[in-house]
Amino acid sequence: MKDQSLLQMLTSEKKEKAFVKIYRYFPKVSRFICKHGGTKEEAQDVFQEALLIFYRKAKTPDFKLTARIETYVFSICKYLWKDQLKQKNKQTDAFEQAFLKDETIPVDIHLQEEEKYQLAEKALRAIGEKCLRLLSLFYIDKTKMREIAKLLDFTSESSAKTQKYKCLERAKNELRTLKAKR
Amino acid sequence: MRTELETIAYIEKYLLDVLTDAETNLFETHMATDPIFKNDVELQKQLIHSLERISLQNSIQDAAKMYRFRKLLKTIGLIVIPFIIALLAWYFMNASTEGSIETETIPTKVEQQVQEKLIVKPIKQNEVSEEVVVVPEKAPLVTATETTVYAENIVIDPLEEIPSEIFNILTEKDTIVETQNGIVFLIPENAFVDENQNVVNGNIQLEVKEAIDSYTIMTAGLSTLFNDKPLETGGMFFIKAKKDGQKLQIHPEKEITADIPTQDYKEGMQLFDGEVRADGTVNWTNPKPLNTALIPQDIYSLNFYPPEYLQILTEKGYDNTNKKFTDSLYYSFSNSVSKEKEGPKTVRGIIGRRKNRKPTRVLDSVKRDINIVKRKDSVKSNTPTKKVLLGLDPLKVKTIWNERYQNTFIATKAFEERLRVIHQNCTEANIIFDIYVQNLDRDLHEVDEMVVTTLKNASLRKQFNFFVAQQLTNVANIDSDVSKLNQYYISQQRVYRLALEKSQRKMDSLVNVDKKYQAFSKQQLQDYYLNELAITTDKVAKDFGARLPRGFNQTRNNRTQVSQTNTVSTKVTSVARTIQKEKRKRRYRAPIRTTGWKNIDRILNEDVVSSVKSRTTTTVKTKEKTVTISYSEYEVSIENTERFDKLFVYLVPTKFNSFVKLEAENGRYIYKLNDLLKYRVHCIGYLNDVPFYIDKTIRNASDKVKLRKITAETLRKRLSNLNNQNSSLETEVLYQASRKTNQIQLKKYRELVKLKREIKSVAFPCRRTETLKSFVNDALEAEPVEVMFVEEPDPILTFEFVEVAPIFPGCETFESSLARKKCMSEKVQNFINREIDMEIMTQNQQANTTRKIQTMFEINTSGLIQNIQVRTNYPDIETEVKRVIQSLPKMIPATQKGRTVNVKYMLPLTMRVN
Repeated sequence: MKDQSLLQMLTSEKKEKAFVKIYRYFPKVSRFICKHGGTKEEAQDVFQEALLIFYRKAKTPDFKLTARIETYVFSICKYLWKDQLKQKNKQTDAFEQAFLKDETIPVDIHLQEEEKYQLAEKALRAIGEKCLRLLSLFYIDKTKMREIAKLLDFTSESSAKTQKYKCLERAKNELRTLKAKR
Repeated sequence: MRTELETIAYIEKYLLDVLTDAETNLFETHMATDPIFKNDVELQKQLIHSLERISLQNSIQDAAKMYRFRKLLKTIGLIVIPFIIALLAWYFMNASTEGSIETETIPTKVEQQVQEKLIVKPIKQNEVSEEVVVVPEKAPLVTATETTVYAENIVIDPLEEIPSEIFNILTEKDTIVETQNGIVFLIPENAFVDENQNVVNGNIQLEVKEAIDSYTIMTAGLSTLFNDKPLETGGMFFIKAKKDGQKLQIHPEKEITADIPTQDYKEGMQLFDGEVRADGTVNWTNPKPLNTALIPQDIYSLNFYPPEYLQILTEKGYDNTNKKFTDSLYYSFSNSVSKEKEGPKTVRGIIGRRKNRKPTRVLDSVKRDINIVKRKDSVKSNTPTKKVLLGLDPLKVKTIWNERYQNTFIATKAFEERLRVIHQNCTEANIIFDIYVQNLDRDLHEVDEMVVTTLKNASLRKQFNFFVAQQLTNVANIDSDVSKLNQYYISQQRVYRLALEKSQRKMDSLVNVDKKYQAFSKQQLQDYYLNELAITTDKVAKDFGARLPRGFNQTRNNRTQVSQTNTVSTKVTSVARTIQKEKRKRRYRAPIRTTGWKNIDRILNEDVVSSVKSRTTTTVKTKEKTVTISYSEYEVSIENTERFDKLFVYLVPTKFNSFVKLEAENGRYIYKLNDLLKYRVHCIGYLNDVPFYIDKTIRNASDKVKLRKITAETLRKRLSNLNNQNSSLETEVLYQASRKTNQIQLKKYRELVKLKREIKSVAFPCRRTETLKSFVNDALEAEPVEVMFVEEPDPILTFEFVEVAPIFPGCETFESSLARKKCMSEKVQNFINREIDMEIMTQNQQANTTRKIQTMFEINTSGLIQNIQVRTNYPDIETEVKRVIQSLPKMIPATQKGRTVNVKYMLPLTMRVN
């Protein structure tokens, strides 16, 4: 498929379809990571994070595709894996060479951008399923508070609202402690 | 809500971008000054950002599943498809007739859904509810929309003519059900018990029959008789609860609330229990008064604007459903209140003084407002009266129209109604408003009463007396923290005012810049022509060999040196100035002539002047010589003219520092150049705020140029290099660049100002009559109406607000004023209980009922009681209460700012007969 139309798909409402399409490149990533001391599950994680980063990048208004999507995503995966290896202190020369060998786009800046949100994500995951659901319904799906109250069995709209603020507060506190730990 | 949650809600609003400009301003100011707050905002931002991440992860995981699923399908497909093909082949080979496919419809069963809504807490009372009717004894006006009824016990057979509605209710939750006719039942959790008084769990069936309109009442054969006396009904209903066929009772400690809709509210409606007689008719007995508790509504659904405000906006073609717009427009009127009131500087002064004031002393600060007005007024004389007319400050409305005041009596129809009246008043609106907002913890009728006693305006007092008569209490379940809102109310008003001022200042500066530009533009064009005139005159004079006056000679002498030092422009400018000076002299002091003048007169020939102006080639003749001043046409065309959002073409003579801006005529830029001068042309175009630029020296009669992209900074540098002395072109271009964006804002602002002027009388309805009055006064040059303000006496403070409360004998030992107040309250209470004759007080009172009597009196500056008011229909009671209150011992009078003052003391009396 042509990369441009795929990119368009990604930025329009059909991003799920686009994700499925991009998944074609997963075997290659999987092979690469397995070759360099990773498991299939780790590959899966890395690939998904890469997709996320790529999507975010593609969404920025001044984004221009300078290479094939495959190369782009693969590069992000490589950087991500490099970071993980570094954390494990397992970086090998072989990897270093493979890393530099074929075309790799410097995408490390994007990774850094995402990093600060990973903590916040952790905090959100810690506040409970219902809270998370409530918040994403409101902020992501833009559901009306009244419908949220119905969906999540709150007695009233206002109690759902209060709950929403309480959830945010909890997440905030969680994030603060996480930050303090670092 | 707690303050932490409030903050979160506030930040959320900012992040969702639902704040108005002024509020955003405010928010950002707060963020800039408070690093902790900023960090808070940052955290919340990150959280919301990562929510997006999480949702993305989910869709990515879905994609992963999809991917795997497809892969699986492919694999399966590879195996299954050949198999199917084989199967089909086999099938067709054995093809025989086929039956049709039957569709099956699944019957769906629709069950009546029970709405689950807000928890509404009932008050006391118990007993089982069955059938009830509401009946008035008298019928005054009042426009309330709903009235609340408490159901009572009595058993009758359900009337079969009326269809029942059955609701399935889960008893573990607070439930609200609404019937077809709109009766709303608020059922608290675990409200039902069985015969053995055990709380019933799980699903129960609630059966409701209702007869609200007279048609149903009559067809059902329901009578409206109370002990054989006819009643006027406000609606009847029957309710019954069952579980598994077993009848249930209402929990003795719980209470179901029923709201019965009504079109025209009548006072004196009561609740009757139904009693079925042997002949099947129903007699209504055991009347009980209805609850007058207020029902809070969503505060945003109420209309706190002045009456007709929304209406006039619609008439003017604005979208009145856009609350953001209507709000910011209305609140911006606050500027006009404060400006006209005291002028912007004084506003800040008042705010500063208010800062250290305690919220409980609002009446005091309100009084200050009045004082200020008074002071200004007594200076008076020629200041037109409308400058001191007030009206309700929109910022006060803004302060209360938000989430914090949900579930207070502010968020009720009753308050909305009062506010409509408040809007109509100019002089006392702010005081009345403050009294309401400062007393959220009191019953509404008490506050109404307080208002009545503060009011001086008789017709207004009548209106509020009428409100008092409604005897409305407070919203059920009022938060005890409500008094904390006072602090918020005061500080927030200040904050809003500052924010408003800030945005106004911003707008003012924009207007200023615009004015400055206009002036600059005018000045610069004048300079240009004067310079050109100077040079032309110079030339003419030279050719004539005429002697110039001293100023000119000097210039000429200088010019020879100047051409070497390369500072021609300044010198030429000085020539221009001289001419200007001379011209002025000529104009104003024409009769005075000196020797030098004759020459000048000739040189400053009208012909020369007019030729420069009209740019036509002119020949100036004298006896001996002729000089021709010639102009030649020049045209510059720009490639892709239509591509640019804006184009500016300037001609700058090399000899001096002014420029002329060419206006496009039919897309052509044409100008007549003075042959004496050399010019450069500068073209600047803007495309999406990106400047494009070219400049070149004019050599031919026409030029075709192409603009090139340039950064704003380089452009600026180029222009400033043009002339190191005085860079008027640079100034011009800078103005133009900023004007582009400002112009839109300014246009909007001007429209807004116009709109505001038009609807001002609606925003401050009270001014309509007042301005008319002042207008008439102006016309007749009569005394202005300010007497009204000057005569305003200090409002009498209430016991709660006064700085040092009166001290009851025996309470002197307490140190803190709070303890002393408490002591006094207790002692007064005890005194009354001891002295009052309960027999008189409970006359005509039925058993098991409570009678409330509102009383109020003043403690004057000598510590004596005066002005006792008792609200009751029984003259005996009034006399008795007055007697007892009058006999209260003499107290140490209250003081306010070191001065003894009268204070008001409110004392509700409650009588209960068992």
